[in-house]
Amino acid sequence: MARKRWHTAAAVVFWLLLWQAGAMLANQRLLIPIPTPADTAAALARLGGTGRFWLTAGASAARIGAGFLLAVLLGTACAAASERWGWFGTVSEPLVRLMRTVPVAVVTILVFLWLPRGRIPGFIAFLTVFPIVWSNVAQGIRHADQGLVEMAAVFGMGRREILRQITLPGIRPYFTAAVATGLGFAWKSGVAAEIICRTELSLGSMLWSSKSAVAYDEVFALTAVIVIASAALETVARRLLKGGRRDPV
Amino acid sequence: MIRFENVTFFYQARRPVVENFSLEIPDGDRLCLSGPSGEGKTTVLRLLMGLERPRRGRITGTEGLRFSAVFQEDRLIPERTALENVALFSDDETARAALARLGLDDVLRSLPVELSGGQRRRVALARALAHPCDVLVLDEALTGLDEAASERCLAAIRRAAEGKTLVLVTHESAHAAALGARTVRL
Repeated sequence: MARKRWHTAAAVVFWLLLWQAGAMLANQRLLIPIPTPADTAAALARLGGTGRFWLTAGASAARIGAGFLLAVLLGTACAAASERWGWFGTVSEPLVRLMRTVPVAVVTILVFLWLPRGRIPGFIAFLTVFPIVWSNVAQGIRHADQGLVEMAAVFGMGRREILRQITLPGIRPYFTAAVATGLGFAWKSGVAAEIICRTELSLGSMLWSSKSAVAYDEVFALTAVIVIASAALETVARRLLKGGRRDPV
Repeated sequence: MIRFENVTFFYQARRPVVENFSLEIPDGDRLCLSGPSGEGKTTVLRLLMGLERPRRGRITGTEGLRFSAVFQEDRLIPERTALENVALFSDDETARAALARLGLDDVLRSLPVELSGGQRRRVALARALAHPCDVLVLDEALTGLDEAASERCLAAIRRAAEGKTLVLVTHESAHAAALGARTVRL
C-alpha cells in the first residue's frame, strides 16, 4: 500500500515537472502566457485568502449537492420500484436511456428556457446522477442472492430483518459504486452547467470571469480546485460508505 | 407428526419431480431420504421447509415448527465472518460453542472467502446446529469432508438432534446408520 502511494506521488511529480517545462518552453513563444504550477499555486493561495472564494465554492457545493442527494434518493426509490413492478421499469427505461445519452450542454441550454439560472446546475447534477444510481441499485437488487434470502426465511427470520441483514448489505457495493462515481459526475456536470449559464455566485461563473479577464493563472487554479474537490468527494464517499467493513484478505 | 399426502410437485407440468409421494414423519423421527440423483430428494426437503408448495396433494403438521437447515450450497453471507454467520441465527456463546465443536475455533473471524470448502461446509453445519429448532434438515451436509471431520460432525449432529426431528439426504449409508436414521428410498 505504502509502495503504491509512493508510485502515485512520483507520477504526480513527473506530470507537474512536465507541465512546468512545457509552460516555460511555450511562454518563450506565446503572447498569452501559460501559467506554471508555481503561478497556479500562487493564484490558488490568493483566491483562498478571500472570503468570496469560499462563499462561492460553498454555494456551488450546496447547489450541486442538493441535485446529487435528490438523485440518490429518487434513483434508489425508482430502482426498487422498477424491480418490484416490472411495468414501472419498462415504462421508465426509455426516459432513463435518454437522460444517459443527451449531452450536458444540450440539456443545460434546453432547461435554460424554463428554470432560473440558480437552479440549473443542481438540476443538471440530478439528471447526470439519477440514471447512474438507478441502474446500479437495480443491478444490485437483481443480483441479490436468493439462496441467502431462502436460507434466512427457513431459519425464521422476518421479511424486514431479511431486508436489513441480507438484501441491503448485498446491494451496498452497487450503491457505493454509484454514489462514488455519481459524486464526481455531479460535480463536473454541475460546474459545466454553471459555466454555460453563468450562475451567480458560482465556481463556473468565477472561472468564466477569470477567462474574460485573461487571468489564466486563476483559470488554472479554479480548474485545480474543481478537480481536487471531485477526487476528494469521491474518496470521502467511498470511505464513508465502506464504514469500517473490512475487505477479504 | 408431519404428513405428505399424495404430494406431486413439478417445475414444468409434463415432468413432475415428485409424484404422488406420501410419507409420515413422527415427532423426533430420524429419517434419511436416499436414491439416485435427480429423483427429487432435495425437492422433498424444500417442500418440507415450505420453500415450495405442492401442486397436488398436501403437507400437514409443519405449521408453527421451527426449521434449521444445511442446504446443498453453503449459503454463507459473504461479508460476515464465520462467527457472525452462525451467531446471526443463535447467540454469540452458542455460536462459538458450535464452531468449536466442529473444530473451527481458529477461523471465527475469517470471512467465507478465506475458508476452505470443508471449513465453509462446517460453518454452514454449525449455523444449523446452533439455531434452536424443532426440525433439523441436512441436505448432503457432510459432502467434501474427510473422514476425521465427518466423524466429528456426526457426533455434533447426534448431540444437537436429540429430541428433535432429523431429516437428511446423504449418499453415504454409513452416515445415516451412524445417526440412527431409517431410510426411505425415492
